[in-house]
Amino acid sequence: MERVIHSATRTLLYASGLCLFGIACITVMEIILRYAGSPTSWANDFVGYGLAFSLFFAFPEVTRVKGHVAITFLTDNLPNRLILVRMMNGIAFLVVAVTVYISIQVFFVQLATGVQTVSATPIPKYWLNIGLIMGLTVAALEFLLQILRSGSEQDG
Amino acid sequence: MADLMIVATIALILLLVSGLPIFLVFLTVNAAIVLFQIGPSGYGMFVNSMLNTATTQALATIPLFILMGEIIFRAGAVERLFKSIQLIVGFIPGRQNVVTMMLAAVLSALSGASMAVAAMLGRTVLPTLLNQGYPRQISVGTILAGASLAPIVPPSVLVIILGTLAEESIAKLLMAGILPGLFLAVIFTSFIIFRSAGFDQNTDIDRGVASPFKDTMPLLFLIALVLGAILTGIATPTEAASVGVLGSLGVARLYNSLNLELLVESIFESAKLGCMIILIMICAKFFSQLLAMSGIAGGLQSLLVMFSDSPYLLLFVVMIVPFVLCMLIDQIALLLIIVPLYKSLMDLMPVEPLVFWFLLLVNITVGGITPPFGYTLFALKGATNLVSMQDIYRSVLPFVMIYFFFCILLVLNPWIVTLIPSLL
Repeated sequence: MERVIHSATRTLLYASGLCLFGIACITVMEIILRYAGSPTSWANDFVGYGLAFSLFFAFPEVTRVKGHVAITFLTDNLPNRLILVRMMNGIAFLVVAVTVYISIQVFFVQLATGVQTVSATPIPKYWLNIGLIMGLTVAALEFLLQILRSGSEQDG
Repeated sequence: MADLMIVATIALILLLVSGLPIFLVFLTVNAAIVLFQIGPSGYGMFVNSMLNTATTQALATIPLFILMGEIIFRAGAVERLFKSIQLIVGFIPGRQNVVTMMLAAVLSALSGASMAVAAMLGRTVLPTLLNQGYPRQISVGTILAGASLAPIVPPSVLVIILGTLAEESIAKLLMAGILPGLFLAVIFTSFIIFRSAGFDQNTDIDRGVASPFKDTMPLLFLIALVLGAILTGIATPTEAASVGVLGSLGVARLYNSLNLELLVESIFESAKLGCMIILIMICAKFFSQLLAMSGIAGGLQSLLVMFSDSPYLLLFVVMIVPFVLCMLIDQIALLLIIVPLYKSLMDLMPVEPLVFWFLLLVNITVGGITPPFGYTLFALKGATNLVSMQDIYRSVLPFVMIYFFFCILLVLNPWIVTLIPSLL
């Protein structure tokens, strides 16, 4: 189970990196084309879409490496920190899972109405939402793994 | 709604200091409001606020500038810079500390994050300074003061976030940092030379660099290219950052460090760091929207009208709040809470918006190095065991005082901030 979740996280990170590199390439290409007199109409919008996918897909990996920023000066020296960490991972799993639930509800509405992004090159909004749901789901599973792992660390 | 948002803001601040990840604090409060107050009709607004923030093109500048910095650091630029600057400033009293300050200024321009610069210099340069007998307090103070330039000197991650939230021109805000950044670097360097005279008699210069100018020129050219592209209007900040990425690959090639592993690792690290920062914004946007709808901003404006006869006192009150809060709350989280509220106060201020936002940025920066809870202080302590927290606290106080007087100087001479942006 752990291996499957980490593989999904790693795969999404590769996709995130590709999106980021793609943003850099598209932007440089757009500058060249603009000064060559033939700018595209889609480059700016694709930078935005690429950024969204890059962020959503990197979320599970940031969770896996416990890279999220937190203000810990009050909690660093508390006794029973392991219980606190487990509790926080529990809250994180719950809240992210609720957000997945809400996003899925919105996904079905977007699918039914066919709503699109407001831009020069519109795409269906549910495409972006799929990226959000994928990132959130795998991140929620990473939080779940951390709860289970902190439990086994405590037992050990 | 206003009462609910006041309770939500208090809950948010308590959750922030509880140790929960910052993105999760915003997400928890937002999800609770949607589930228990607004109901299913708010689901769309909640998700759309995340999708709209994630597709904001201006925010792409953040991971791109991080990628530029990552490629340069992994190409071994820090070591080369340190050795080169040593040779260039070899005759100045307190040479190593001056080198550290100049290195910090360049690294600040390349990384845009004060905690990263403090941690990097704490790990690499501080041991050398202490081994060579430099006074602990001056050395630590130098590193922290140099690192504190990162949010001010362009390109800066905080400026991009601030510009996006305040709906102010990011290019102008970035350019606004050049002159104050240079002023501060000169003031800090003069102070260091004054304090360290006589401490560098027994130190040797590492001459392991063939030509200091040959090693530093590509980096200086890259910084000039990125800033020049924005300043001349040839490129937007996002485009300039992309050109910076391309340029950093060229620098890595010149240093004979360019390979696929360097590129891939840099991309992954930048994607993660970018996600870490922007995820907080994605989750906080909905809260900002609710704050705006609640009418709290209007209430704050009516509350502060009593200072309307003395606008400079109002400015002081408005600036002292983020300064104090920044000792407790992360800089980005604070910006996300405070900027939507402060936007409504522009009419009451004695300075123009660009100067106001820049002063806010400086205040947040100083809060980050002010004892007892300034975040950059902990970043340095986390990077080295060679100094105690007491050393760090004592070392940074003179620089905090310099910043205090510098803020007064900026209010009295706003042209320091507006001169370069006015050329755009």
